[in-house]
Amino acid sequence: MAENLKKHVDETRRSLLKAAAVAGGASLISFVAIDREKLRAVLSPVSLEDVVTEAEAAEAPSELERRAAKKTEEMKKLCRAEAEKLCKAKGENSPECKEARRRCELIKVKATPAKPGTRFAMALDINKCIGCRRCAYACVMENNTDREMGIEWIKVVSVPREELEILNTDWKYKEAPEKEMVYIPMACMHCEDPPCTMVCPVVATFKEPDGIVVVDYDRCIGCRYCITACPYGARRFNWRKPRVPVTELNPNMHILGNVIRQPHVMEKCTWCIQRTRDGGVPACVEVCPVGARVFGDLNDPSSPIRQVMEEYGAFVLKPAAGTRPRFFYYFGPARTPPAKKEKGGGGE
Amino acid sequence: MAKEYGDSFLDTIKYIIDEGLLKGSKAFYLALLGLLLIGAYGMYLWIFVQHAPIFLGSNYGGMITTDLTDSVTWGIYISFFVFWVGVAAAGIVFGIAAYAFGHKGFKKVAVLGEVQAVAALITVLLLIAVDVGRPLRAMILMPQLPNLHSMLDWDFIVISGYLTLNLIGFLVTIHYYRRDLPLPAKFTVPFIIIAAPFAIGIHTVTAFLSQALTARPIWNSPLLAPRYVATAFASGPAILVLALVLAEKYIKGFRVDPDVYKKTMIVIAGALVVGLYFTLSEAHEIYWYTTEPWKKAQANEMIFGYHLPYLAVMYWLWVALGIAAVILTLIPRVRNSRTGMLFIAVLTIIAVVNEKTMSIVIPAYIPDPLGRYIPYYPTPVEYAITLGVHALGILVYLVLAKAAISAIMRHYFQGSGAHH
Amino acid sequence: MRGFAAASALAVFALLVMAASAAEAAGQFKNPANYTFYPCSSCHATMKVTGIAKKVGIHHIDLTKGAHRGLYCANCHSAPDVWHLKTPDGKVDIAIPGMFSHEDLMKINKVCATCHPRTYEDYVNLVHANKTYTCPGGHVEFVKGYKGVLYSFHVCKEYKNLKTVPAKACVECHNPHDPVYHAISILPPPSERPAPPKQENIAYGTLAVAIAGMALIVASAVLLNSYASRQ
Repeated sequence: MAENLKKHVDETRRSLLKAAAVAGGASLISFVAIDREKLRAVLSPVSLEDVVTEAEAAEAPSELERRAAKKTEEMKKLCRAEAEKLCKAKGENSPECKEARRRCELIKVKATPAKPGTRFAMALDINKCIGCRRCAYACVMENNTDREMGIEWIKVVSVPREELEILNTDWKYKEAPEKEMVYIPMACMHCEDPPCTMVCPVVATFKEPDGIVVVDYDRCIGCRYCITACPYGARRFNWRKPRVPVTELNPNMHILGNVIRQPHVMEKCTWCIQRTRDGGVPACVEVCPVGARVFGDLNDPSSPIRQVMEEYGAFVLKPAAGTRPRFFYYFGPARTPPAKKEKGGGGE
Repeated sequence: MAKEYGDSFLDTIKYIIDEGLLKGSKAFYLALLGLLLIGAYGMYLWIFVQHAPIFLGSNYGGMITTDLTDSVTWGIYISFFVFWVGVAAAGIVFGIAAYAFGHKGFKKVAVLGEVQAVAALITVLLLIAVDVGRPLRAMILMPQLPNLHSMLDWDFIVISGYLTLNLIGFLVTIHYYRRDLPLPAKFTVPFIIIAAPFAIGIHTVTAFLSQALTARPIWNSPLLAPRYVATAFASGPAILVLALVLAEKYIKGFRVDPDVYKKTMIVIAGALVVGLYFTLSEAHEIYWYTTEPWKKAQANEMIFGYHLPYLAVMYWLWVALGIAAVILTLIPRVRNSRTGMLFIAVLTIIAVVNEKTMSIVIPAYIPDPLGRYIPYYPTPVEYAITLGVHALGILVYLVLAKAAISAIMRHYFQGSGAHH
Repeated sequence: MRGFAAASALAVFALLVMAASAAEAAGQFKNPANYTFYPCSSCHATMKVTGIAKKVGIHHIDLTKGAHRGLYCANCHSAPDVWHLKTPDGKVDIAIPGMFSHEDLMKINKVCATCHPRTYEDYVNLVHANKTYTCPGGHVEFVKGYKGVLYSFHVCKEYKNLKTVPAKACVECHNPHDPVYHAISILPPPSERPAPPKQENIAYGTLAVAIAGMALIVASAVLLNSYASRQ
């Protein structure tokens, strides 16, 4: 009886094992034969991202956005303090006081990220530029720069037309445009291989994915190595605490762009990051009365930059510096005639 | 002799404090007081005037009190930084002669080279601290070595490393000498193997951070680093000779082996000749035929000083005093007498200061990349802070050198090393 | 009976004529040449632009000089009246800068494009002239700013979703009868970093401290010498 039982148990065990082997083999074969991807999709665990909706995920702020939110509060506080002082001095009902308060309330520090696949560039038509300097001063207005320290991100130099050498330049000219001179506004070239980012010891300045070289004002230690390294003289330093008249404050700010800077940190042209990353155009491009400046996306074939390069060809300044700038210059088709009227009229 | 100190390292620290600070003569304290006064004034100006917006959050002050601009952005502070890094690097000369070549005369005084390096590096660090816009941020961010492409990060590594090495060398040497024991080979050999490359390294890195920049053509040459090292090896040993001559004069019983002087004078002369040769080579490359116009314009500022006359004065002082020092070293009567050596050393120091401070740093900024010629004349704040920093450096040197000389006296003149 | 029909037909015809003339009158009010402060029709019934007209002395228009001296009035203005301009596909109403809106002025760009296709191509691609940006629900305030620059302050709700568009129409910069764009005034030279503040106190202080310090050091040297000589 026991033997029978044992045999029965053995048989059961054997058949169980056989069945298990067959089942295992079958599932193995089916596992191998079936579409792995589909299987993986079925078998992969459910992750939190699938459950949380996209809207909620988009709301989770990045590090930069959190800093920007804090910076908005800080800027508003600064602005309101200045506005209070102004209102006390000029009276509550003065237009300056109202304007100051209005601008303080409009302040918003953005942290707009770079749009993927964008690569910005700018070009300037040397034949059109009349050296009027409106770009330089509009830049000061747009970017909340200190007006008393001589910080102008754009400097317009004039050189003789025969030899475009940035040496023995005249940057203090009072009459323009002269017939034999060209006028070359110079600001940050947003190089492909920027020497300033190479030398910054604390990575306070870096090239963003859309091509803009930015400065993180909270990291800069003010060593001024980047000014030493820039072949285009584009970088500026705040030699003291910067002051902006609150009635001229630009409330449209970006944390890597035109927030009010701190003392002893660097700043430079950001291609109006607070405008361009949202679809706008830099202030210098906007204000140029002759339309000499052109700004666009190198990766977009219908952009102005590509039109310029394909139609007129573009060059860069100081190519021997090896930095591969993305601020191009070109000689466009028409030349704005010099300030002194010529006989017989100019021509197109 | 009563044993006042034990054998532990803590006792060595006590010894250094006692010998360096507490057991001084009236003359010593007078000198310290004078230096402290100048140093304290410099630091006061740094904190309350030049960096007031940073340390005090004030609306006045700031680096606008200096004459630095976006055009000439490194001035007197970085100029002297370059010089003192060179002096620190050359402190290793005695160490190499003593521990690598085993010269007995140099072994006695090698620790003074380390003291010189420590004092010079403290001056260097203070100069950087007063020059940088936001020193507290720098202190927090730099040790993280965020960007190894930047030579300034490497500068941080080598300067801290070399300072540590020299402090270790100094402490270990005192640790042995005060107990009348010679330095063991198992210390000196690895020490010199590590410290000598670091020494060349600190001045090389200082030069590398200037010479790789296409934005400054007059620096952008492979000759900058060799030229820096060559003149460093003139000025460093010159300061050492100065210190030794003065120590011999004022410290009873302290005698220096005449061979030390002889060999050091040869090093000084050789280094000066190499430095002058490099100057000639640079001038030829720029002026003989054509060169980049911007480089020529900068060289014109350096050598002829069209827009900043003091640069020309400094350049020609270097050439004249350098040649004079070399010629004097060739005359046996001058180089073998104490006064003669003192004179040659002082000439060398003045010559190299003129070669390596403003006359090489400022011309790189005039004309600037926009073609502007903006002059630079340091303001009283800059002079005061520079003076203050130098005073603090000399103070550190005096304190440490006094302790070092006591230990040397203990071992080499009153103890078992005397018969060596 | 026939007379009544004839009379009513006449009446209807008269009404129609009146309506037509009224409509014509109304059409005349629609004519842009009428509702400017410079109504052409207050002097001219028609303009009678002939094929070879080139000068209009009273309006200071002289097409024998300037960049457009190769043209006649009738090249751009549809003869015989001037208040239409010719485009490749028909006519477009005249618009005068300063009196007409930006949108109306932009409509004339097509006229210039007829002969300047390359420039128009540049203009449309935001290469040729002024560019500005618009934001939803925003407006622009012109402010005179730093050193007198006429700065356009965009007041927007959000400064997002901006669109870059050409800022000015062709005729807003180029006078069609003398089109060369002459250089306008320039703004003052740039500022430099102000000179460092007066530091006389610091200068005196430094001198005082340096002299005091040096005096102490010299005193110490003198003392040292006396020690040395005492030995």
